[in-house]
Amino acid sequence: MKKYIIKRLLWMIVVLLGVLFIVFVLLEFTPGDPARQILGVYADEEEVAAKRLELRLDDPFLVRFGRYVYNLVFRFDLGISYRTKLPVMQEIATRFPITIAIGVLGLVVSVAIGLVAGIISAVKQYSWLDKICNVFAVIFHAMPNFWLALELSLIFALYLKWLPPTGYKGLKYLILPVAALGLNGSTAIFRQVRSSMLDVIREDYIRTARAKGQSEIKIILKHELRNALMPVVTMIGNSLGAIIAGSVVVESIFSIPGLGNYMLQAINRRDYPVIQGSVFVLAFMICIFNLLTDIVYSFLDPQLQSQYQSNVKSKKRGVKA
Amino acid sequence: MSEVILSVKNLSVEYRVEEGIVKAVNDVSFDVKSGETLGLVGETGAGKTTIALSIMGLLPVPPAVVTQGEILFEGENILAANEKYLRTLRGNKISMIFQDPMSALNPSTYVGDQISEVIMLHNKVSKDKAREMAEECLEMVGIPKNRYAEYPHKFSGGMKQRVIIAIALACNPNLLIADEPTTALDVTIQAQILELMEQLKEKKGTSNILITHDLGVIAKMCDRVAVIYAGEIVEMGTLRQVFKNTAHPYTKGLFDALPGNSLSGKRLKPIKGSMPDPTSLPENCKFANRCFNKSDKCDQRIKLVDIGDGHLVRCVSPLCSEGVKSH
Repeated sequence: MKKYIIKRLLWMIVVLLGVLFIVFVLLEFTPGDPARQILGVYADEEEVAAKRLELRLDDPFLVRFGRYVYNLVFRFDLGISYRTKLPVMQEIATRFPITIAIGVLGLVVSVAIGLVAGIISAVKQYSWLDKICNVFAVIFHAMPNFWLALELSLIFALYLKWLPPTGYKGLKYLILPVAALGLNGSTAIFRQVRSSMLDVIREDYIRTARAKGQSEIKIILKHELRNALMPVVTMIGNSLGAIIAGSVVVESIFSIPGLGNYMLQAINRRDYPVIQGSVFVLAFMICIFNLLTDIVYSFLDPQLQSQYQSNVKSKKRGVKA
Repeated sequence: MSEVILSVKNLSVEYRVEEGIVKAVNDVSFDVKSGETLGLVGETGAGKTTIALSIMGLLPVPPAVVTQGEILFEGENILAANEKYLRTLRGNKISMIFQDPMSALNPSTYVGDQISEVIMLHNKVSKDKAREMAEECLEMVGIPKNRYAEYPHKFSGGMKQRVIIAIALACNPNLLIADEPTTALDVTIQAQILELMEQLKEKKGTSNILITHDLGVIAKMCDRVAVIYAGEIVEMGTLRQVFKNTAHPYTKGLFDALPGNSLSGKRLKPIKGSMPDPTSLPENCKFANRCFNKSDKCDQRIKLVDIGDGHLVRCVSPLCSEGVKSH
């Protein structure tokens, strides 16, 4: 298992380099000159040329990419924002916790709602509870999260005045964004939990558990849930990307100074170092979460666990032979 | 030997599904005496498993509905008992072994923990003590106890069935229901499992209900046999009565269909036709349209009659009566 994790971490480096390269290529082909963007439309050509030289924008593409990676790896430096002239690393460090908080809380809310509703729906299949859960799942699934965010803000901030509509000055400001993300994300999890629980409920080993005299609630928790969770965990891992993408949208609707909002502004202003830095950090986060998903998965499915072990072993043997 | 521990009386079970009412079990009565093995034999869909699940109180409701009858275990009617009482019986006093060992164990739990689970449910013991007892159970069924902390996917089908037997016998039940315990296993493993079951039965004095469609298994394991056809008992008696003085044409058909009973090189003799549609069972003899011995008398409701020494047959013209050998 340890070897598997190390192997995955090494692969992660390759993935992150690939992401950075793609971002570099995309920005290379994006129309608009960052030097011109910084100095404004009234600056003359010489000033722009001087700025380009200062930012070393005229170097060949691969040289710039190499320099960026070198600085990142050996100096832990993501460059300096064109606009604020502050180190990108520092700017990201102040915004990152907010995005992480929204993302993780959104995930927690969606998993909590999805799990509880999914279990109830499956155990009481075709009951009115099941039907209500399904109707809500379809409704929230059909709503794009930016629209849900706007509606929530309209109801709870504007009409009811229970919660602040925008900004970030404490946890209270996170409730609406987290609710918007969580409700939207919970529908997919709900449907996965429900369908995999329904599969497991029909398994023979559930009948074995009943024949042992086990109580229904323990059958659900001990025998059904653990086996039903495997596909759910994969799905949660995959939906992390969606949640992070969603946080970009939600942050800009609620004017929350998080990483997503920061990146969006940077894209509009051609602030290349900020775009590269934010994408890198988000990609890093997704990689880490995917790795965590796979580790959790192996704990749930013993068959996989032994596969990881035998995989590493057989490779080792292959090298020796 | 004479004490009756389980008594099924006039049990009828239906499955109410969209296609209609499936009459799975019709007016079945039998007793199981302490220490004996009763065999339930019949073809697929005859209602054997439904009878077993009724005794466990594990019928899937809905669609299953018990329309009449009672099942008395230690004087209590299982069908009228509440779920809490049933849970104290299941796995403790009545256990069941299921047909397919491949899927009957939880894939994400150690096999040993699956045994100690049932021990802890019915005995007030600590976790460590339960583990110790579960290890003993593993050794009892011939699995070394150091395999306690292994997952089911590392076990073969025969080993899994041994684990399931260990689970079933962990609490020393009075009654063990084995629902086709060897059907999913290959022949050599089948023999081993049957041997094991017989040994454990002798050691623990458990009464068994053995459900199978294999007459060979019945001959090896059972004291008494009930032949079930279309949800009814068509013949019931001691092993000797049913095997030597076969009285019902269906039972005879079963024996004739065995490969060993026809000479080599000759064709097998299957029973022609198939079981009547359980959603619309005929009122008269349910076997009549497949029977070689059919007559006008068959066109009526037929009762189970004693043809001597407790040998019960549901046929108006039984092939023999007790004491008179027909073949």
